Amino acid sequence: MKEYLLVFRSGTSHDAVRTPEQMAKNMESWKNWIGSIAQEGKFIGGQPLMGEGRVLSQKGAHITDAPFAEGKEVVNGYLLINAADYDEAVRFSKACPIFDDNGTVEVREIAKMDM
Amino acid sequence: MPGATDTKQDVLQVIADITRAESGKLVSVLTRIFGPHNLTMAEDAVQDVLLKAIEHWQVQGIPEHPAAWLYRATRNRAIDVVRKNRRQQTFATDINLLLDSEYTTAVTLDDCFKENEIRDDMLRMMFACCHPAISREGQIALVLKTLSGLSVAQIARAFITKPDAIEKRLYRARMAFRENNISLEMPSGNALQERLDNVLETIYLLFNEAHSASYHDSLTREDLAHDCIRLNGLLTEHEATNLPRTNALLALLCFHTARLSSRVDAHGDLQLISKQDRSLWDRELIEKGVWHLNRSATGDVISQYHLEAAIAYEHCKAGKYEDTDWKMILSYYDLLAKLAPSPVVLLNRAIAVKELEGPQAALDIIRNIPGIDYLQNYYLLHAILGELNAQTGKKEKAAGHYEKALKLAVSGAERKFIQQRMEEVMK
Repeated sequence: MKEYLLVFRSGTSHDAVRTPEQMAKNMESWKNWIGSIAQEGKFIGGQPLMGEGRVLSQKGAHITDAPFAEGKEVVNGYLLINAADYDEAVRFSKACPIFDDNGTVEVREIAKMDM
Repeated sequence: MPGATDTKQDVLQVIADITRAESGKLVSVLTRIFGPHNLTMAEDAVQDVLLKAIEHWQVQGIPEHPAAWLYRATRNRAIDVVRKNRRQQTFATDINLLLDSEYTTAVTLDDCFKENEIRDDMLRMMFACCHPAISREGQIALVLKTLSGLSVAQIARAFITKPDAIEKRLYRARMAFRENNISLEMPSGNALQERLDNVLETIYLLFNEAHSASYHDSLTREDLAHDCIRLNGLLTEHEATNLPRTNALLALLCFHTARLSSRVDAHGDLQLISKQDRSLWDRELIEKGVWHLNRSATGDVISQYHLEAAIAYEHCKAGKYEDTDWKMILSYYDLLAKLAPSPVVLLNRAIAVKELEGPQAALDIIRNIPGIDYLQNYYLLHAILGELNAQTGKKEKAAGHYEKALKLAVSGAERKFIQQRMEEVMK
């Protein structure tokens, strides 16, 4: 079993303005999706992110406020899961609600930093 | 603005009522969320919400739907507690990971706060509180505290003991709760049967305690009796626990409770059943009892509750005391004496014998009850013996028993009752 990080990007951040109904529906989809991963014992953790942020560059000398990229590129959450391999991690990711917002999922295996 | 002029008095009254009606559900759902090991955390959170309600409602008025307000506030309080503690605490095992992530926390909590979930939680909580690892008196205290929303002081008054003693019972009960990893799952199969018997017995004992306590307070015997009916009602609403004996116990509680208001007269004095004003009996509650008595008449097992309910029904059925069918009552007592031959049952049976065969026959029976010595400190035994001896002309003996009864009676109402009987009979 390996650990994978799923990085979500979309043009809509989680604190974006939505109607309460849309909000509730959206949260329900995330809960159902993550719940189904948890059901298989493969959910480790993860959090949604606010749209605002700071980007440091030039050895920390240069700091910019969000929005720091094209809408579509904004990272707005992550999940850490267990999976046998990329196939399984991708299978989980296919049902991710981020696609309702025309977003993307980037699947990355956690590196083991052996000396 | 509705209720903008609500006084502190109004608010406190509404809060007191709503606490009794809703706090059991709120503690149950929070215990389901935080996990049984965090029972105290759940109780504290509900307490916080109630205090907050008092504060808010005094300023903004009592909301149109106070219960809905309370649920909303409790749900929000749950989110706060989860967010504050999630890094150093584990909550209920099955949802702990979901409460760890903001993606899932709110919806998971909302799911827990759905109405049918809450009802099931309360039932599970009742089973947990009646877990055999907790002492009987601990079970009763815990049920009253967590499910009936009584304060420690109120429980202490109900059991004529000091708040310290109740605190200790609760402390030990909560310890047992944690140490035995008591879960909020409903047992199934044989385990369910056994545990249900335990739960029914706790309700039965709680009711008896409530029934015998005679004190005058904002919290009355009726309140406690209705609590028992409500708790028992939860069991009949749930398929797995809606069994004949569950209905039999509920019928018994209804019949007894229906007659409570006539047990004391306008001066707060206890009344003999022969002298009670039967027009005060709660017909609706008697009908409810009949409905459950009918529901209990399925299957092939007759429980103690069936027989006691049948006896209580005979009393309710009689339009006046003289109409009481003592033959029928005695036949039920005969069955009961075979099923559960406790000294108290046999003593009550002797009273039915007295009605049919006279006081001497009853005295003969009482003398031969096995284990009657166990009742030597029971004031009612001596009150009855006083009565029977007086009726057979043994005044000296009667006086001795009445005096013993006076010493053993706990409440003032009981003592006054005995005093009056003594004076009437000894004339």
